[in-house]
Amino acid sequence: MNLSDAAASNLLSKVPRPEADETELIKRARSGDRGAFGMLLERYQRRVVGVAMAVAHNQDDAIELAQETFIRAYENLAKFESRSSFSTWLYRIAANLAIDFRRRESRHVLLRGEDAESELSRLPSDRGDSFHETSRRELNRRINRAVKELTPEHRAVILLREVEGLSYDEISEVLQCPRGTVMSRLHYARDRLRELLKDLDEG
Amino acid sequence: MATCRQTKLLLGPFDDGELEPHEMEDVAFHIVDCTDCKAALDSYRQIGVALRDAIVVPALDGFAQAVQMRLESLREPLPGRIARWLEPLVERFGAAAALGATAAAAAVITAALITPYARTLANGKEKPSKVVSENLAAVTPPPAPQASASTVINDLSKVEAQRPSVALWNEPRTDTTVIWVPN
Repeated sequence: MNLSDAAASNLLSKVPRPEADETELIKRARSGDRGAFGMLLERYQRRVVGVAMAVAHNQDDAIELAQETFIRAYENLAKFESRSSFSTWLYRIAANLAIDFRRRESRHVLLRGEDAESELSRLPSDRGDSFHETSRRELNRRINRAVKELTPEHRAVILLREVEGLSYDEISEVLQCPRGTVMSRLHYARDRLRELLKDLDEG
Repeated sequence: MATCRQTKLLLGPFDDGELEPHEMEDVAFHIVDCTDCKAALDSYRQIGVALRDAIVVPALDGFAQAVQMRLESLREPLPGRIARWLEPLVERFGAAAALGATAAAAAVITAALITPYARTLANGKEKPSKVVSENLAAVTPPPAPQASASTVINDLSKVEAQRPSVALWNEPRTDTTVIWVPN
């Protein structure tokens, strides 16, 4: 069945426009509407936690950092200019907080002697799982270990790209480094992971 | 044709769709014939899939509520505080203020319409002067060319005193004198 032009345009006009909706939510949140900010929070919480995890690479810390990101965003909404998108602005706050956190923590981690195993030890035990589940878990463990081998900068770039799906321009803006640096870090990170996981590739 | 060394640098961006169209084309042509680069591209892809599978974002149960609770303890941003402060005032005095403003506007318009000055403006400035000179000619002889302004005023005052039906009004700002004379 063909729709007439009028009917089609009527239907199109009813399709919600996320950008327009978001602009309105930001405007309302700026004037103190916590409900509007709550909607933005629901919309971006997963990605903000993902960005914090990419940089901090620790689940508990990522949750804390993401909470702090939204608090900072709420307090500084008046400073948000529409030069970048709201999401990129949020991710940048998350990344900056995570970078600062990582710098502070790096000293404590050395003192406590923590390593990648502490994070991985939280994974559930293999008892009672199928062979497939066990091997999948083992594979994930290997990958997590390999990711931990990367420098924080290379780890952040590859996780933001591969897990969070950010574009090179977004990564460049979030981590505040040139696009060329994003490309070279990504190339290095991929090559390094390929090398670290070579035996998996061959298997 | 691009070399393997050149192409390997572009394999990631190629897979991410971040190259210029001509570069995308170069890489695509290269990997058709180059098994090494094709293998590298495949392993980059596998690493991407493995990362997405291995890196699990934690459950977000209660995350939004926790943030909202922290927000509750914060002070509201300044624009919001001002709006909230003005809200009861607007509710309480809004109707009275609107009524007052309307009444004041109506009073100003009415005063402007009934003032002779406004009527003068509406009729044009030249007209009253002309009427003055015409009617004055009918009542008194024209003043001598050398007569000063005070002489004319004195003459007019005399006329006004002699004839109660004649009214005299002097407007010094526009240097205009208006005389109402019955026909």
